[in-house]
Amino acid sequence: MAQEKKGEAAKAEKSHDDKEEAPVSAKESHSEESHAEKSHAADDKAHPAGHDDHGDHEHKPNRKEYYVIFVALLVLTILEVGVAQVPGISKPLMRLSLVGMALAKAGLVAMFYMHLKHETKIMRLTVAIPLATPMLYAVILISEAAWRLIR
Amino acid sequence: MSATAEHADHHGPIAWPKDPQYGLATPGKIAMWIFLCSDAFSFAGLLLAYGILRGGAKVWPPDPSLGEPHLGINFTAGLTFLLICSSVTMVLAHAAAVEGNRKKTATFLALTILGGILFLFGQYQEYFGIWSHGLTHEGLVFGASHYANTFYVTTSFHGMHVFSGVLYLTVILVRTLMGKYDHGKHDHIEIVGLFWHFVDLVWILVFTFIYLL
Repeated sequence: MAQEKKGEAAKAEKSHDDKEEAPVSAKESHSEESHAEKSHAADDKAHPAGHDDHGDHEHKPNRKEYYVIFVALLVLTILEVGVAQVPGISKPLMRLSLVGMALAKAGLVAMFYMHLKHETKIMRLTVAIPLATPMLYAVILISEAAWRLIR
Repeated sequence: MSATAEHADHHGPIAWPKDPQYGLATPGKIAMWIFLCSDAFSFAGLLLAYGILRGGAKVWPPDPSLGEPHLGINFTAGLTFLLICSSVTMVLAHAAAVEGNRKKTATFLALTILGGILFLFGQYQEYFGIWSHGLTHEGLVFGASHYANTFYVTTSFHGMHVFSGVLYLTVILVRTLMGKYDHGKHDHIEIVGLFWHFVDLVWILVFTFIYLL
């Protein structure tokens, strides 16, 4: 009897962890199915995309997140234009920072606007792995061309 | 008018069975991603050629005697800003579609289309000039140098994507107004969004590699 109580308490605690919001009574943890649904809804509100089950259920668009990304893209664009026109900046430093910022912007668009971060891991790899190969090829070919020039 | 919404083939969202690898992504969405990968390879080819030619050139623009102009960064930064804005209206259109708000979806889709059309006007201005001299008048002649060729081919290939994106968005806008995407069937709007964001994403890279570097 006492053990059963203990188990129930542990269960309640666990479900509380899952929810992170709204206190749960031990009674509620019995109705597993309705609980699972509720905890998903709570999760969506608390963390629009912070959990592992990507692609499991439809994600409600998060407008605030869209605006934050917009501001980030805008700031990065202004920085890029600034960096490209700084007088006397060393070329390698300028190029490195410009390419870094462009890749960061592209990544933001893909992850947040194209919802890649809500997709399954396999879906993300399906996209990322093929796109990594031309980049690798570019590094090889461009550095080869540049090396031949300075030789 | 409101009766047209009732003619939709299905009522309620289409429920795809959950795939162990791809979750709830619809076949249409997966297909669009695969198409976008192949499209990315086309752009990668163009940018690779550009990188190799530029990496192997002693000076860039290659031949100072041709008197080729430098590309205008500030104007193009404005075009970049325009495309980013149209990406925002695109995600807002999708958000409205998820909420089943047909009118709002149509409005944001129309704004996205407007952004695309303005971008095309901007590119026309840059090439041929509307209110000032375009690059073609300033001595950047297609066929004259690697500099001119890589610039025109890459940016016009992207411009073609903006143009086809505008057409694609227009079809989706008309279908939205017809009520085809009511009742939770909004995955077509997410898929057109994928294409549009991809066009934006590619421009971000083209802007950096061709204009800024």
